[in-house]
Parts: sequence; C-alpha cells; structure tokens
Amino acid sequence: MTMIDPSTTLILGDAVHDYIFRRDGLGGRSMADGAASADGIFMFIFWISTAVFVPFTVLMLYWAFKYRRRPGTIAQASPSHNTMLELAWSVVPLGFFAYMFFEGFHGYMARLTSPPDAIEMHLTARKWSWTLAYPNGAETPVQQRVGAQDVPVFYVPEDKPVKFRMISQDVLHAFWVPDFRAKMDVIPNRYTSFWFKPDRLDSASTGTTDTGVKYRDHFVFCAEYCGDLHSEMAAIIRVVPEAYYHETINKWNDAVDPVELGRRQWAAKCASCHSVDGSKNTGPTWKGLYGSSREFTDGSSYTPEQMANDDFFAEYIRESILVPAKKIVAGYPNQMTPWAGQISEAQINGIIAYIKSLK
Amino acid sequence: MATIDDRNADTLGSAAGHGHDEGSYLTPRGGLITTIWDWATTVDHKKIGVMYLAAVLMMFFFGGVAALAVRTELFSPVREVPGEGITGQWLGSFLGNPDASIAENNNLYNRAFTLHGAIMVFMVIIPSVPAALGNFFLPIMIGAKDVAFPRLNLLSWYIYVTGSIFGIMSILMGGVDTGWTFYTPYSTTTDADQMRVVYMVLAAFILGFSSILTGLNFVVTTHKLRAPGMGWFDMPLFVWAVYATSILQVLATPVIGITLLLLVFERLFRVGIFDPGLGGDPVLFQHFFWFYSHPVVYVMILPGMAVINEIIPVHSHKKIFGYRSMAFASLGIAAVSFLVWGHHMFTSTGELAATVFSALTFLVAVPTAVKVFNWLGTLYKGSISMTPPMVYALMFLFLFTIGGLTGLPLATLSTDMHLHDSYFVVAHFHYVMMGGTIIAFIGGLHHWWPKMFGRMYNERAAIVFALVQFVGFNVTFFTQFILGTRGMPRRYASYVDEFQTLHQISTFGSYILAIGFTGSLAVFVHSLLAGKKAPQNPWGGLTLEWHVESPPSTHNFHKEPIVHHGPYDFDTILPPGWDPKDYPVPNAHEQAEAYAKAQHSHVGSSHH
Amino acid sequence: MTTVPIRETESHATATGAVPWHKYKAAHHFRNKEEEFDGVKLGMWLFLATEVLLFSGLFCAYAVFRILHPEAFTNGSSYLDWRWGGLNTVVLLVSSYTMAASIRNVQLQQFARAKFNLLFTMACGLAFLCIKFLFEYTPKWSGWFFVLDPALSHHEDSGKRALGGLFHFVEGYGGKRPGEWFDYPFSTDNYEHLWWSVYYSATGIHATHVIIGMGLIAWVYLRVRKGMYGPTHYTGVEMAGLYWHLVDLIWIFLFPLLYLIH
Ligand code: HEA
Ligand code: HEA
Ligand code: HEC
Ligand code: CUA
Ligand SMILES: [Cu+2]
Repeated sequence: MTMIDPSTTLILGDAVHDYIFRRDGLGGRSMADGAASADGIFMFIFWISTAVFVPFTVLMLYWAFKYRRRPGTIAQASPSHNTMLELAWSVVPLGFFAYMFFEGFHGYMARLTSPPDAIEMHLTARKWSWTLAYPNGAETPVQQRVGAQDVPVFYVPEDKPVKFRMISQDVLHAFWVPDFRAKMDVIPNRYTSFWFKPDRLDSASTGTTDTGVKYRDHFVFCAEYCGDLHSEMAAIIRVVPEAYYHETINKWNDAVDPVELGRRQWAAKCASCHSVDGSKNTGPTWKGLYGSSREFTDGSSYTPEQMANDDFFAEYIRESILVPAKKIVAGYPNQMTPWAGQISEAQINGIIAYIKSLK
Repeated sequence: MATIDDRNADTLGSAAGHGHDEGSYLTPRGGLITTIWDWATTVDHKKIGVMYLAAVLMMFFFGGVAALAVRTELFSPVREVPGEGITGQWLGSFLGNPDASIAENNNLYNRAFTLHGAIMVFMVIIPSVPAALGNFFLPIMIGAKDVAFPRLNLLSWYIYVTGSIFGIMSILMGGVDTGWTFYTPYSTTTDADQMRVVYMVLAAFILGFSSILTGLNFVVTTHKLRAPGMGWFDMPLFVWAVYATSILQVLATPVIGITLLLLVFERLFRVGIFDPGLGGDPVLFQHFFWFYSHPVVYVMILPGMAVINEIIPVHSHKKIFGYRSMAFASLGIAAVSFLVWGHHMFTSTGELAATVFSALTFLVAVPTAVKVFNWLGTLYKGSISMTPPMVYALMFLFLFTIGGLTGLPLATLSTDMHLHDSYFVVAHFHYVMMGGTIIAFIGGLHHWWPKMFGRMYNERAAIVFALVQFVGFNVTFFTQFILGTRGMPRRYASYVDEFQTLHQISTFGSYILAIGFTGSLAVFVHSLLAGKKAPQNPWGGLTLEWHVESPPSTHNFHKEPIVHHGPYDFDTILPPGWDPKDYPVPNAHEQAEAYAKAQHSHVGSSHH
Repeated sequence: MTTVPIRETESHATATGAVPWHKYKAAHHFRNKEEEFDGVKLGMWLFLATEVLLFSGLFCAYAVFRILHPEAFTNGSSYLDWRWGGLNTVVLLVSSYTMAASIRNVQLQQFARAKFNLLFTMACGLAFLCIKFLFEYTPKWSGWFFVLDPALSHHEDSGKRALGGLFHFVEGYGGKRPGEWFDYPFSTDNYEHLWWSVYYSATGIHATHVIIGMGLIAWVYLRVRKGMYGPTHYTGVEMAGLYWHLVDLIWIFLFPLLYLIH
C-alpha cells in the first residue's frame, strides 16, 4: 500500500499542511514514524472535500442569484429527478469513501502493531499525573513548567521504537502526543499500548541542553476527560540521542538520598494535589505537616506533639499513602488515590523524609 | 398525479369566523386564568407545539449562556482565578469563590461545559424540530385534526418539563462535571456523597421517555391519520424525515434508558457493572451510551433536513429534486445509523470492531450526500425568493456540508487517532448540530412563524441577523478545526500559550453569534407585538398547512381534506391565496376561480 | 376517490367520560372506532418494542459478564432455587391465560367472568411478587427466611426470630448482594457480586413492570365495572393484555437465563 505524501500531492500542499498542523512552540512537521501517513490521508481528505465543497458553494450561490425570482414568472421546466445523475452522486462518493477507509485502516494497523524490538516502558496514569517506569526501573526526576504546572519530562531515544504499556489507577485517561498524531485511551483494569518511533534529531527542530546535548520536545496531553485537573495533566516527551538516553536513565537509577527520592516521588505522583509551599489544593499542603495538629472528619484529631514523634508521624504518613480513606483530613474530600501496591517501601520512606524536610 | 381539475374545494379552509364559531387556536377562551388553564390542559397539538417551542427556546437561551461562559473562560490560556484578570473577574462575580484553588476553579469550568452540552443535547436539539415544529405541522401537513394520541402528547410535554426540572435541580444543587457523555467510572465516583449526578442522569432518563412517547405518537399518526388521497409518496418530505426520526427515537432511546438506570443503580447501590474497581467494565458503558447517542445525532439532523426539504422547494417555487431518493435516504440514514456507534470509541475498542465501525460510518455518509446534492439540484432553474427562510436554508447547506465533510477524517481510523477528543471534534459537531439543526430550526421558525402566530415579521432585519449569525458562527467554530489539528484537547479549562490567538478569535465569534440570536429574538418579539397580519400563504407553499388560515383554527380543517396534488407540484398548481398574475401556471385563472368559490370569496388575494 | 362523509366536531369529553361501550365513538380525530383501535394497537406494539429493547440492554450486560466471568455466573446462579423460579413461571403463565380469557369475556359480554379473570390476574401478579420478595430476595439479601420457605428445613436453626416468628435467621446464608454490598463470606469467586448485580437489576426492573402491569389491570377492571368495555369496544382490556403478556414473555427469557443455565 502506497501512502500519499502530502508534499507531492499539490504545490499548495506544504503550505496548507503546515498551517493546519503547525504548532509554534515546538517542532514542525511529522515527528514520528506513522505521523507522515496520517497526515497524508488527512490532506487527501482535505483536498477532496475542498474539491467537492468549493464548486458546490459556487454553484449554490450562482444559481441562487441567476434564478432569483422575478414577479410574474415561475420556475423553468427542468427534470425533477434523473436516475443516472442520482446514481452517480451516490456511487462516486462511495468510491472515495472506500479509498479513505482503506488508507485509514492501513495507517491504523501500522499504528497498533509495534515492532518486536521496541523498548517497553510502563506508563501509569491517575488523577492527574503520569508516571513512566523505564526498563531499568528508573523514574524521571526532571520537570518542566507547562502553563501553571510542573510536568514530568520523559526521555526517549531518537529513531528507536518505544512502546508504552499503559494502565490507569482510577478513571479513564488518554495519552495523546499531537506531534505523533496518535492517542490511546488509558483504562483501569486493562492494559492498552502506545508505540512510536521518534524521527532522528535534525537541526531544524531541536534545542540544546547546557551540556550541549541536542534534544527535541513534544507535548503530551491527557485527552480523555478525567476531572478537575484534566487540563493540567500534561507531560513532555524529550527525544534525545540514544547514548545520552542510556546514560541518563542509569544515572537516575543510582542511589539517591531519601529526601531527593521523596521529592521525585512527589513531583511524579503527588504534586497535582499536594503543594509544598503552603498553598491549598485538592489535598492539604505538605509544608509544615511535620509537627502540626491534625483534625479528621470523623472528629478525631492528633496533637502537634504526636505529629512530631518520628515513629508516630511515619506511621501516619504511611497509612495516609496506602489507605488514604482511613483518616480524612477535615475540610478535604476523600479523593486521594490509594497507593497500596503502587509504591515501594523505599519510596514511602523517601516521601516521609521529604515531608519532614519541608519546614 | 397533479391535475388541476380535481383540486377539491374541501382542501381549503374558510376564512376565520366564517360559518363556524371556533376561531383560531390562539383565540383566548376566557379570562387570563381560564386561558392559562386552557393551555395547561390542552390536547391541541398546535398549542402543545407552541409550548414546546417556548420551553425549547428558553433552554436554548440557558445553554447559550453556558456556552458564553465556556468561551469567556477560554479567552485566556491559564485558568483564571476568580477575581483576577478580565475573565476571572467576570467568572468570579457570577459564579466563583475568590478563595478557590486551581482544582475548584477548573471544576467550575467543567460544570459549565457539561451543563452546556447536556442542556443543548437533551433539552434543546432533540425536542427542537420534532416536538415543537413537528407537533404543530405534522398533523396539518397530512390533513389530520390532531396527533393519534393527543393526551399522550400533552403528557410528553409534562414529562419534558419534569425532566428539565430535574436537570435544573441538579444545576441548582451545584451542577455536574461529568461531560454530557457521563463516562464511567468518572461519573460514578465524582462528588460521591452528592445526589446531583443522579438527578442529572435521571433528567436525561425522563427526557428520553418524553422523546419515546413523541416518536411513538408521530409514527402512529403518520400511519393512521393521513388524509384520503395521500399515499406514502404523496407525503411532504418533512413528514418523511420526521417519521424516520420517530422510528429512531422509539428504537434507540430505551437503550439509553437502561444504561442511565444502571448508572443510577451504580451510584446509589454501587452495583459495579461499569465500575472497574468492582470488576465491571467501563467500556461497556461507552458501547451502551453510543448505541443510543449515535442514532441520536441523526435524530438531531433528520428533522433539520426535514425543514430544509420544505423551505428549499417552497422558496424556489420548484418541485424538489429526487423526491423518492430523499425519502429513501431518510430511511437509509435511520437504518444504518444503528450500526456505527463504535466510531466514537476507536481508541478504546478492539481493532476488529473499530474497523467494522469505520467502514459502516462511511456507508451512512452516502445517503447524506444524496440529500445534499438533491437540494442543490432543486435550486437549478428555480424561481428563488431570497426570503429569510431561504437564507437560512442556504446557510444550512454551507455549514452542514462542512460539518459532514469534517466527519470523514473522524471516520477514518488513522486520522481519528489524532483528532479524537480534540477541538476538531468539537468543531465538527457544532457545524452539524448548530450549523445544521439549529440553523434549520431557526429557519423553519421563520418559514412557519406567519402560520403559527398569524403575524409577519421584518424580513430585512431577519436576514441581517441571519447573516450576523453566519459570520459569528464561522468565526467561532472554523478556528476550532485548526485548534484541533494542532493539538488542542477538548474539555480543557486551560491550555498552552500557542493556542491563545485562535481561542480568542473563537471567543469573539461567540459574542457575534450571541448578538445575532438576540437580534432574531427581537425580530420575533416585534412581530408578536406589532407585526403585520400574515396572509394565509405568504411564501406560496402547496402543502396542506398553507391551505388553512393563519393561524389555523382549533380543528385545523373544517372539513376533512382530500389530497389531489403532490406536495411540490409548483409548476402546475397555483398556490392557494396567490394571484394568477404573479404565478402564471397553466389554467391559473380557472384555479383561482375555483379556489375563490370554495372560499366563499373570503381569502384575501395574495401576499404582495 | 370517494369523499369521506364530513363528520361533526365532537367535544373531547366523548372520549374521556364514562361512556358505555355501545355508545362509544372514536376520539374526534379518528375516522372511526376501527381505525382508532388499529392506531392504539400499533402504538402499543411500538411501546412493547421499546420495552424489549430496554431489557435487551440487560441481556447484553448479562452476556458480556457471563463471557468475562463464567465461574462467577455459574456460582451465583447455583444459589437460585429453580423451583421458586419455576413456580413463578407457572404463576405468570396462568395469569397470562386468565388475562387472555378476560378479553374474550368482554367480547362475549360475560362481564362477571371478565371481572373475576382480571382480579385473578392481579392476584397472580401479587403472588409472583410475594414469592420473589419473601422466598428469594429476603433470604439472599439478609439470611432471614420466611417461615414457610421449604429451603429453611435444609439449614441449621440459628434460633434467631423476627416479626413474631414469621422469619427465621440462617447463619451465613445472607449477604449475596449486588456490587459493593456483597459480603457473602463463603464466596469462591472474586466477581460473584457482578452476577448478583445483574440478577437484582434484571429481576428488579422486571418486578417493577409487574407492578405497573397490575396497576393497568386495576384501571381496566374499574372501567369494566363501569360498563365501558364490551363487544364493540374493548381497546383498554386488549392493551393491558398485551402489556401483561410482555411482562410474562420477559420472565420467560429471564427464568432460563438466570435459573437454568449453569
Ligand atoms: C447532527 C449531528 C451529527 C451528524 C449529522 C453527524 C454526522 C457525521 N459524523 Fe459526527 N458527531 C456528532 C454529531 C453529528 N455527526 C457529535 C455530537 C459528535 C461528538 C460527540 C461527543 O463526543 O461529545 C460526533 C462525533 C463524530 C465522530 C467521533 C469523533 C471522535 O470523538 O473521535 C465521528 C467518527 O467517525 C463522526 C463522524 C460523522 C460522519 C462520518 C457523519 C456523516 O453522517 C456526515 C455525512 C455528510 C457528508 C460527508 C457531507 C455531504 C456529502 C457530500 C457533499 C458528498 C461528497 C463528498 C465526497 C466525495 C468526499 N462524528
Ligand atoms: C445543539 C447543540 C449545541 C449548540 C447549539 C451549541 C452552541 C454553542 N457551543 Fe457547544 N457543545 C455542545 C452542543 C452544542 N453547542 C455539546 C454536546 C458539547 C460537548 C459538551 C461536553 O464535552 O460534554 C459542546 C461543547 C462546546 C465547547 C467545548 C467545551 C470543551 O470541550 O471544553 C465549546 C467551546 O467553545 C462550545 C461553544 C459553543 C458556543 C459558543 C455555542 C453558541 O453557538 C451558542 C450561541 C447561543 C446563544 C449565545 C444563546 C442566545 C439565544 C438567545 C438570545 C435566545 C434565542 C432565541 C431566538 C433565536 C428566538 N460548546
Ligand atoms: C487525587 C489527588 C491526590 C493525589 C494524586 C495524592 N493525594 Fe494525598 N491527599 C489528597 C486529599 C484530597 C487528601 C485529604 C483527604 C485525606 O486525608 O484522605 C490527601 C491527604 C494526604 C495525606 C495526609 C495529609 C495531612 O495533611 O494529614 C498524605 C500524607 C498524603 N495525602 C500523601 C500523598 C502522597 C505521598 C501522594 C503521592 C504518592 C499523594 N498523597 C497523592 C489527594 C491526593
Ligand atoms: Cu487524565 Cu484527562
Ligand atoms: Cu456518531
């Protein structure tokens, strides 16, 4: 099956294509294997539709004007049906539709079948953040501001197929990378997958890190409505040279000190609901949590002394993470995701240490 | 079958007041209280139609205000904190809490678009043409005195009102933030301790009942109450399309009924059928939901097409092109529309299902194409009056075709992977729903307004506001196609900066649109208060409603009409009430004389 | 083409008030009684189609979950006693017969029999509901058995009584509830609650239909008493009958699906 290349379909093709898909902040043209074919079929439909629509509109307006009513006259004799014509305008569109369907089907199957050598990573979605576990178990500590939110940056190697196995911990989400022209729903209790092969880094669309490494960023958006912070549930896919990719994820995985580990956990999983600067969000802030009194919706409460007792505090935080519904802090909804089974003891200890550090 | 000589005098109504004491259906039967009571308990399909019209327009206004709130919030990329910034101040003073957190403030936005979608779909567009215009005109067009079950008809209206009240109750309790699609498990878990989601879902359930009963009533009416002489293929195409719609309503709505019931059970009793936490299947909900909600998009568009089927031939004074293919296209759309629901779920169903659904979706586009081309063919060599209804019809052709054509990349598997849940979809469905159905509905209102209320309106002003709407509409929604292809997801309270310009243009467009509709509203109010008295047949239509007075008498016809000519025989039949000089069909003078005799020379000559 | 005689406009009251059957005229917008009857019947059939579609949603859910969790469904249905289901099937079949008979009675002017048959049909409906609630829902939901339930004899007497001894408690039997409410300690399958969700939804919605049907029959019964139905006008009885047959028919589908397939 030959795919139509938008740049060769028409002279105007490039300009229109770029207008339709261009996004100023990041990259330009198709950014992953497969995106080119999706764009091709899109542009094909676009031009066919234009070719139908423009004459249609011109005729409509021209006739509306030419045959405008003049008093004392009636409509001229003209056939009120014509079987050949009517057949033609059912069958011809059907032909075009069939072609669109087949092209779309091929593109779609290519999208779904990942090559066997794809690097497999695990992506977890929840209200309202993404966590990516690399093959070596590392998780990204890097963050970047998008809008008003710091979102995780996922590093992937250039020109290598990558496959995400995705699952949601709560409601439906969808993983969309507009530059790759693809998205896939992320569903609780069922694995779905998303694969892509980022184009090689070329000079046109890349940035450079402080250390002189080339990279290219692509936005990730959550495309399935998932509640309050649906629109903040973004991430960035950063395409980097392969060697740099391996170096970085190994570095991430090296032992880090507990406070830093906790901070990374926070950034990846908790920041959408818990601030560390004292501001109110979906959940209580963590600033000053150590040693401050707690009141719960069931009427019970903890004193500052209890909360400053290391063992008691650790116990409480651990429970809050694993079974949040046990004690609901007064004034907040019972909204927090239970993390039991999703988080390691080392990570919990890291979080405890990190919270303590937030005086 | 059109021969002039057998035009039967019985088809003609007599002028108001002549020989009968009933008067028009609008004539009050007593004082204020009596009149209100009379309307509240009426079984007259015309009054019920008018009551639907009032209710639908009111809900359209609420839905429109919610849309403006949505657009206003989207004027700036970052969610506005109430009380700060331009839109923040606006939202803050009307809806918000100045101390709200990001999440709470986003939540406000989420409720606004849910409210907007749910109102527009369940309370506006589904009942708009069938329940308001259909109720009024379907029986008259087939020569019946009323619908088959008049009391059931009134009951449907009350059910509609009850459903709307449930919806409004839910809004007053704080609104829901699920989106109009109520996807589980979000809809079963959000605001867990609150009843308002339950109320909103029940509202949709109850409105569904109203819709089923209306559909059932129309099917029976069309089957059983056609006037003598009116075979199936002598029916006006309006009736055909409303009939096809009614079948869809009857067959699809029960499925959403059970789905919504299970959703309510899920929330109240945590039964777990759709809840993955309890082993249920959230995708099953989507199947159930779209099994109804896809046919329902044709429940929305067929009546819109029905209106266009009448406007174009009447205002072109020309027989419609391809009558039979039009009728069969309506039925074809209705039938295939049951088999394509999965195209809303390309990113969540299996490959095989997605493929089949994609193929079938293209199939449903074919009869639509037939219709579009037939309308164009009707214009050819017509005698076209640029009246307000005709302007709306041309707007419809333009906007609906764009909407339909942009459905194609959505139906294509590989491109939908990109476009699904983006603003491209939002633009697509506004072009078909708003640019299609709502524009047709407002056009139909202009077409039949003189008949319904016996008053003309200022045609020039009406055209001006139609054009304002046209401009506003395209500015609002064309930009959204580009937003979508460039990567703007739907249901976003905030977005990255690079989408800002397009969003701002879109927001401006929506204000223009609001001005346009407010203008139309003013035109109608002015007509009611100070409009010229409408002639019996201002546009020169041939279907039966143009044979009775404006406004019609309580029983529509004084004698049972007998139909002797087709609905669109403009080249041989002098439109009732028209002057042969203006309309030189064969034997025009004899027709006019026969007509005048039948009328006991009571009807004024023409509209000029 | 014949011209249909012009009819005088009649007041709406003609169709609404208590008109004896032999004086009944069709509502004013119908040409005659026959046409009205056909119209109402078509409407009723359409309505029955919507009811079937309503239940078909439930049947789909049943099929999907049965395929996904066959174990849970076999387990769950093994707790249903086919004898109660069977008895209820018989009760409904008999009631369908008496319903049909009452229509015949009205057509033959046998009003006393018609009234008896209508009452009997309603009584069957009531019996159906009693069996459902006392012998099926209550024990499964809570472990309290009605004293007359034969199943009681298979269980050890826990000695707990309620409502003056009318209900006996069986330890460990209850808790077979839908969804999250499920807390039957001896369940062997993690998804058994889904079976109970389907079971309670399907039978619950069906039971609601039984109640609505009884209401319709009661309404028809009153109208028969007022002499509004007879050989030339029996629309209401016929429609109530159609509805009742539908309620029966749906049970005929539910019974094997829930009780018999393991
Ligand atoms: C009035 C309502 C209406 C109508 C009529 C349509 C008509 C069509 N719709 Fe649309 N649609 C909606 C309302 C409607 N839709 C809504 C509300 C949603 C979103 C719901 C939500 O998620 O909230 C939606 C979403 C939607 C999707 C899902 C998108 C997604 O979420 O990923 C798809 C995918 O296939 C689709 C396809 C189509 C197609 C192919 C048609 C076709 O019927 C169009 C056929 C018409 C034409 C094609 C134009 C005329 C034809 C010609 C001029 C012929 C010549 C053409 C050629 C030779 C090319 N629609
Ligand atoms: C019939 C259906 C319909 C109609 C008419 C409209 C009309 C409009 N809609 Fe739409 N919309 C939907 C159905 C509709 N919508 C649906 C189903 C959704 C999806 C919701 C979801 O995601 O869950 C949606 C979502 C939606 C969004 C996306 C939100 C998001 O995803 O974040 C946006 C954003 O711009 C929007 C804007 C508008 C605007 C500006 C109008 C304007 O056209 C409105 C203009 C109207 C007025 C301003 C009212 C003025 C009226 C009067 C003054 C009285 C009129 C009286 C007479 C004319 C006699 N709508
Ligand atoms: C969906 C939003 C959300 C996410 C994500 C979230 N939380 Fe929470 N969290 C809440 C809410 C709401 C509360 C308050 C109600 C309660 O106590 O359960 C809370 C409470 C807490 C508390 C008790 C705080 C106090 O003031 O006593 C701790 C500790 C906590 N969360 C830790 C975490 C950790 C660790 C993570 C990430 C691994 C996390 N949360 C992710 C919403 C969230
Ligand atoms: Cu996650 Cu939307
Ligand atoms: Cu659809």
